[in-house]
Amino acid sequence: MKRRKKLFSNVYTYLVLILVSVFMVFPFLWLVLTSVKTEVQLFEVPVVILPHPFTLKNYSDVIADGSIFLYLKNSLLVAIATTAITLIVSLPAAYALAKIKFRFGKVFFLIILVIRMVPGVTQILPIFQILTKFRLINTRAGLVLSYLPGSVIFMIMLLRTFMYDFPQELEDAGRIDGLSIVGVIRRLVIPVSLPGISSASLMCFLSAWNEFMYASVIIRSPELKTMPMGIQSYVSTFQIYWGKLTANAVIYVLPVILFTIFASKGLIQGMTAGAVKE
Amino acid sequence: MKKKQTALARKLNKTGLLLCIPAMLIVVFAVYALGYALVMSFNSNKAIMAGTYNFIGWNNYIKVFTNKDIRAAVGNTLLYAVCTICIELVIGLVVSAALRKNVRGSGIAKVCIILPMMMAPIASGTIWRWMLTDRYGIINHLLSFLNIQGPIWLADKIAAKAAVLMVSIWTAAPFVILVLLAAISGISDDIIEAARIDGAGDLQAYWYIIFPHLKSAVAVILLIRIPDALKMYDIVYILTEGGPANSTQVISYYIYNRGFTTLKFGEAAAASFLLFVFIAFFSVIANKLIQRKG
Repeated sequence: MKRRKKLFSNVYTYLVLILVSVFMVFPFLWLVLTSVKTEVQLFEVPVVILPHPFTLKNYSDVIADGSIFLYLKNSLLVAIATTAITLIVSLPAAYALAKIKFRFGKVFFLIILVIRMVPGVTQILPIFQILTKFRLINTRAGLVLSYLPGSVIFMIMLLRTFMYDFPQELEDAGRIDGLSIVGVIRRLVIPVSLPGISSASLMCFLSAWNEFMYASVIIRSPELKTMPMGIQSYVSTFQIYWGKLTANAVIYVLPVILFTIFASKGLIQGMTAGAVKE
Repeated sequence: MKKKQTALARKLNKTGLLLCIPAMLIVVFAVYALGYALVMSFNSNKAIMAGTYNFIGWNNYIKVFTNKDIRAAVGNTLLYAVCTICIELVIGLVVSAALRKNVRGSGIAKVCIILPMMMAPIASGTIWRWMLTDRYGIINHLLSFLNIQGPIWLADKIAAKAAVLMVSIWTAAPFVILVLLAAISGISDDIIEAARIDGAGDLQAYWYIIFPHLKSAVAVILLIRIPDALKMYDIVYILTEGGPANSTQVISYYIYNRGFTTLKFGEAAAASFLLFVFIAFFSVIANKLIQRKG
């Protein structure tokens, strides 16, 4: 009786996990399967599930066209610049907000909380006008600048929760041994909170890598387009080129998927820390 | 109560400020942009385009309130927020409880579950759009195995709403699952074991022991997910562009179009400022409620 109950509970657990995993992964699988179909197989009725024979023509077309490398390069540059600047700016601020009691700390943090509530669409309207005024529209620098408020605030909030956990004794020991505050941050805080910092930076990188709304408004010239805009350009045309589009998308999301698989533990920790700690 | 500051306090004041200066510059930029939006919302569309200023009072706000399309967008956004979040919570509670058992293979399930979060909305939107096409789409093909004649997903008013709902659940449920999992993993096995010994079944143990522990996690999820759902944009953009006949129009996409397609920047700024005030108001109230309870 008891054993049967246990078996039932296990079967139920597996059923739930399998169902949810399939639901989550199926679109990726279908993305890959679509990208290796020929034009004819794509529009066959009933739907071809496993293409036989499969083709890599979509990929060779996309590579021969070459614009994908440009888009990837732009996305990479923008995401790296955003992440680097965000880290440099946020680390000291997060440390100060978590560990030091200073006069404007509370007010500053309150302003951060307010700005965090501003929706993207409320920010992009004025940012578009401001960037136009300063002739930064249609530049990578302008795009990075438009990402900074969001990413810096996200990063400060997240890093602050990691910094709270940093043991005070270690910090005091460092100070007694003659380290300055910058020294404490560089030699002690960063190495100790490295796992948290790296998963936070990864998320910061991803949000810039994946961002579409701001890019679609700020970037105009084809040679500056980021990858999401490149994918979008296959849709906005009169006909949607599903084969090439999916091949593009596979190349675009593959690094992200691989990274997720390898770093899933840190990612889960990073993503939930900010939410659960407060 | 004005105490004279000690030398140490003064020094801390200085270092704290110094460390924050770079971040302050960025935050000042964000505040400036927000102020700019407020100023824009009282400016006429023409003057904004010309780069001048022409104060027109509350006109833009009046236009927002009398606009029929925006009412549809607000209704859709609210409906969508309520539905996605409820379904996500149900999925989250069920899946996190299943993950908690740590059966073999749950590591793989975890990786599968976080994948949608990592993916660019634009990429997931397109692939779902392809899966939802009526004749060549895999979803209707799978439905036909169950003898269900699938709808023309993105061209039918109700089906399009369902499609947007499904895709947004797919993108946001992982976050809900993870937060609930983090909370549920914190519950020690001893308490549950004790309940078992007292004769509680699986369901009873869940309802009386695990569920009460999840309340604060659910509150956090609501606090993060409700504003997020109200800001939703990408999925509608790529999947339906607000159509058919405005049936999937949401606030953010409406504002975006009002500004960048029809170039009515003043009205768009007014509407977007209202959205911000609404979200801020909600967040503050919800925060207060949660803090009082906790």
